[in-house]
Amino acid sequence: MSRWSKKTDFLAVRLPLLLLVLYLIFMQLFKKPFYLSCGWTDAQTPYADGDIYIWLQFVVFIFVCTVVSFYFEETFRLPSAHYIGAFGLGTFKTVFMRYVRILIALEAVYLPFVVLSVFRMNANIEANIRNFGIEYALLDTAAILTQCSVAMLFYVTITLFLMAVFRSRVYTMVFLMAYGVLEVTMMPELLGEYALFYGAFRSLPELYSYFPANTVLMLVLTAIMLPASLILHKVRRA
Amino acid sequence: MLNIENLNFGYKKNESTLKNINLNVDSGFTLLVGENGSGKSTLINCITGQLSGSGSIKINEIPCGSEDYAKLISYLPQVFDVYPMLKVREILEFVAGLKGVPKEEVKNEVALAAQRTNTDAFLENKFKKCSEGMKRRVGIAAALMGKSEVIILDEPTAGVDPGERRQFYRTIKECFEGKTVIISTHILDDIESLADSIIMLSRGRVTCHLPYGEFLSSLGREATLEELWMHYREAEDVTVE
Repeated sequence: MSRWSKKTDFLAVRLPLLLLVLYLIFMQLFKKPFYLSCGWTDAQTPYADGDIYIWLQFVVFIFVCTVVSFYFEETFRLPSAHYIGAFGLGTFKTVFMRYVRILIALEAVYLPFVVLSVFRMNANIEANIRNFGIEYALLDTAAILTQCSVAMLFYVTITLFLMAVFRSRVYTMVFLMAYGVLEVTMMPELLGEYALFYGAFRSLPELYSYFPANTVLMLVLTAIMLPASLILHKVRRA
Repeated sequence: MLNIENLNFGYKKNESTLKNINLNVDSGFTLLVGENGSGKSTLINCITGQLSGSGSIKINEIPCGSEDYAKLISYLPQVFDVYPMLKVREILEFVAGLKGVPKEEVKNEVALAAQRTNTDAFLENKFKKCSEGMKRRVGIAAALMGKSEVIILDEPTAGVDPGERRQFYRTIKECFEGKTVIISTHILDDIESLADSIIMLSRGRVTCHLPYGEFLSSLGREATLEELWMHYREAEDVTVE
């Protein structure tokens, strides 16, 4: 039976994947990403503020998009897509099954570091805030895991979608980098809590919520972009 | 071997790029010729299953679109450029997987294909660093994977210098002997060197399908390939073997 080699996929992404892993390890060498200031809102709900989403989401976004764009490059780039199309593999095997595989692989790499990061943030909260004698609430690991796994799902899906649209790794990465710059600059003001990196730049991260507004938006966009990518691949195969 | 009946195809609703194509192609080298825009690439895309028109396309009675059909056909595009950052061996292993070669046979199959195309010394080289001639040979090695009966080569000698072209002809004659090979081209040198039979397309119609010898004498006098080309390009009636 015809198959898309997993080994080839690994060979195509090994370098950017290695860089992602090295970055996640590198991040753990520092203390600063895990510093938080905590308190209570007027509505008596806990909040925590820090740079963690810059480290754990924004920078990871750049690495993940690079990995996924390398992964799907030959699937969509015109000469090779045309050649591969002649082997009779359908969109399900060529795109969907491989999408599931890369998603599982990236979540498996990323989520242990998320858990470790939450553990270190909670350790900081306990070690430092307690000294001030104020009441504090520890972060919920499950809530942050949910947010981060949805974010990873979204990063993979948006890269797949843009690859299906542009059929070019370069255009896809330029688009994503340009959007990343907008998130650093004006998106928090324009979109408020719907900014994709809400909580990373000049806004308070929602570290105590399972599904903040931007996470819900990512799920909705994923639900639109994934089928759109599959349809685009199917209709543009030739 | 390859049987096409009443094939019609258009990219738009009221447009006909291929008009009522009927062909029976047996083993040997069949050259598919025609001017730019005559429908050669569209016909190739239909045969490889990437486009589907009305009518039927079969190889040994197996209909186009099935997985068994895809196994019987190998396609080498004008530019063979898949995973250029990988090594030649890794690319051939990838293609073997796409062709459904069992995992335990992949190594042998790659070694055999590399040997037959004289690429075995370059298996550990990065594809993107190979010369153009070497890339074409790797493409032929890829086309040798699996148990293909029909080999489609799309303008395989475009942009190749005459010396390399001779080498290329030798390689494909050795590698694909006994198979049904369809070569799309508008290079007259290809026709002279390879053709067992000729299919001429003009404005989406087959204007000639003849064994090469009959093609050469089909005007009832000695004619050059250029004259024959011009004659069949203008021909309105379908002249099928």
